[in-house]
Amino acid sequence: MSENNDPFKSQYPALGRWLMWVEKPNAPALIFWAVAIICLGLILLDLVYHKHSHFMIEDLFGFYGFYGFIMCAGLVVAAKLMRKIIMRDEDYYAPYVVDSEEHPKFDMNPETVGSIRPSDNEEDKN
Amino acid sequence: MLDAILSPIVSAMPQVPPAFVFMMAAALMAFVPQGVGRSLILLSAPILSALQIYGYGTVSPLGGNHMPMEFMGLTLELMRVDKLAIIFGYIFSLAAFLASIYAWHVKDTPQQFATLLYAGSAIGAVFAGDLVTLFVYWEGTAIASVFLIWARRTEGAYHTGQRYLIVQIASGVILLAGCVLMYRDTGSIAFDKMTLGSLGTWLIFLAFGIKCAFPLLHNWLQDSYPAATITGTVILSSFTTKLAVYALARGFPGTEILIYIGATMTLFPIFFAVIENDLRRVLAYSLNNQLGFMVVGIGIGTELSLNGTAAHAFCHILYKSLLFMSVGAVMFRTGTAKGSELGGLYKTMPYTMLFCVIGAASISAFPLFSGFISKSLIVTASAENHNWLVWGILVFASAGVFHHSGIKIPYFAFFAHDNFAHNGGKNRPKEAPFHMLLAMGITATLCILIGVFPEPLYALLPYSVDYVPYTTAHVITQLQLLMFSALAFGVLMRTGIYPPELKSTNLDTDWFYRKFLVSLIKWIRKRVKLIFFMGSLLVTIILQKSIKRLYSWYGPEGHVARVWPTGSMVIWIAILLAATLIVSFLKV
Repeated sequence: MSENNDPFKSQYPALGRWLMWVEKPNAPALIFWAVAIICLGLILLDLVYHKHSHFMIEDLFGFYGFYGFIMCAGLVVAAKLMRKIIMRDEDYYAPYVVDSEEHPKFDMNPETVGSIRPSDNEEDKN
Repeated sequence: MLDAILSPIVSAMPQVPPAFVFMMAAALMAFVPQGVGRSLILLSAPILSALQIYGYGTVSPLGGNHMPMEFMGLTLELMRVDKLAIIFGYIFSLAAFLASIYAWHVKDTPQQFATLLYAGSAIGAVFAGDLVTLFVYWEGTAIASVFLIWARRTEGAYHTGQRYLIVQIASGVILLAGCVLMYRDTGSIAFDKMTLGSLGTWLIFLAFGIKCAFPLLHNWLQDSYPAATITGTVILSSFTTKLAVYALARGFPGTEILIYIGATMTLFPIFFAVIENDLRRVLAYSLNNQLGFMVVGIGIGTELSLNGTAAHAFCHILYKSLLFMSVGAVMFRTGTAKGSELGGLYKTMPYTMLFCVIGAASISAFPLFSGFISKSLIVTASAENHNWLVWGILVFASAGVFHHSGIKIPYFAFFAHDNFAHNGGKNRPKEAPFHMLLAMGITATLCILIGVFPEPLYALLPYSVDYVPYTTAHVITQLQLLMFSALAFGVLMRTGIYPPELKSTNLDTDWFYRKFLVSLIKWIRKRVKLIFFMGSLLVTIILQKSIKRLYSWYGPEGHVARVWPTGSMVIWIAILLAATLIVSFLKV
């Protein structure tokens, strides 16, 4: 939904309204490239300071960055492959688990922005 | 300045062990009707407990036995006060305080009592100077905490609670067995540094390991924490596992095997966390991963690493509570914590989102957040230990935890696919209630304050700290690690490789006892039943046939009955008489 035709927008907290720029079509790309530029900057910083390293590998240019990138990508790919083996339906252990149950109503308060207001309630009664 | 304010207050108060403060508050609560009064008791007990700890730490000398008690010929030590115990006592009190603000709306008697007795038991265990006292409080945490799961009052929660209780009680029973063996071997029940070797020490180690969620003993954690009530999970996340960390730090510092156990613990949960749908279970996996860092710190056993463990436990309790609080607030409004059913909540719950991001930044150890100044103590200690493999795993696990806790939780809960856009956005949940925002706000502020000003926390640590977290190299390398992890997330999302959130259950090692063992028992039962049935059938047939045959032979209509002459008996009697006659002749 675009931000212009959001009928309840006026009820959103200010911070929520302000953050709605992330829904603009080019926002994800913008964030991604901003992160990429920050990464580039951080790598280049490696040229200007001295590391107090304990291991030789730490002295490699941009070691921490590349290690983080490769290992995280590997982590996600490995986890995705794990799904092929270990993923089951949500009710696999039912009825002995809570996963397939509704959360009990007494432990929550599901108010919504479109919740019936007192005035609406009166209309219902009428 | 703080001392000047607190000292007169503390000296005016009678000295009571902090655990007893909670017990007395629980007893008092029984006479107070449901309402503000009870909530105030829940809030004041942790404050009084912290003041008592402060009193024991300053007014009385450290290290002594402050409350000796004779019990069945043993001298129990109910209050052993030293710096290691004090820091855990403080953070447990603080966690109970924050959770009580968060749970201000809860008007459920069992949960209120469970909270007080659970926190009280955990704090009691921290100050226990002997293994018997430790055992009593250890079981206290098990029994009190299960009511936070059962308070959900559904069939699934009931079964999950049962499983949780079996594991927790087993840990206690093993601890008691170890304690008995220790007493037989050494004649002492003192809870001090132990060396693995005898069966007794191994049993105690195992008991601690179960509660600390060692690899393969970990499933109870991911199974039970997402099954508790919204507030219950926040409370559960603070005590049990950190009590086990404390017990290991007290009993087994410098035990080398802990380095490898801890490193494994940091590693394997992150894979499960990436593909888990229930965000509270993702947090339970990342809790397991964070415990790994603390266990490595204990295993290395240097002053730096043990300081790291204590500091990390302190920070971890805060940011993990904060994360569970924020996901709990989402659940409070939407009824679910599943990534596949959430998304787009930043619009109406932006402050919850902000606090979640602060928790995420803290657990990910971003500079200026609490995790940075505590985790780095442990990682540096592991580097100084020159074990490149463990160090490499810890650095990887640090990046991994940012990936699944730092990015995944806020992203899938508050951004990602907007699951509340239907009906013109009418069903968008409202922001969390004020008391929840207040609890999260205070916790988030603490996370940042500790990150920016680590000195007060460092002053609380068991050993003096000679460590500066904010060096150019450390800040830049940490930012490189984290930002490139974020970049990897971005690349994987944009290329569509990142696995979507799916409604699912992921098998963990608990499959072996929840499915395989059950099937095995069923299979054996079926075979045994069949064998028994066949056997009894066979015996019945043989018996029936034998009876029939005998009957056909000896019955009134039988062959034998028919052919026997009537006089045969007379002949036999005559033979018997003759035999008797011969025998009596021979005898003479």
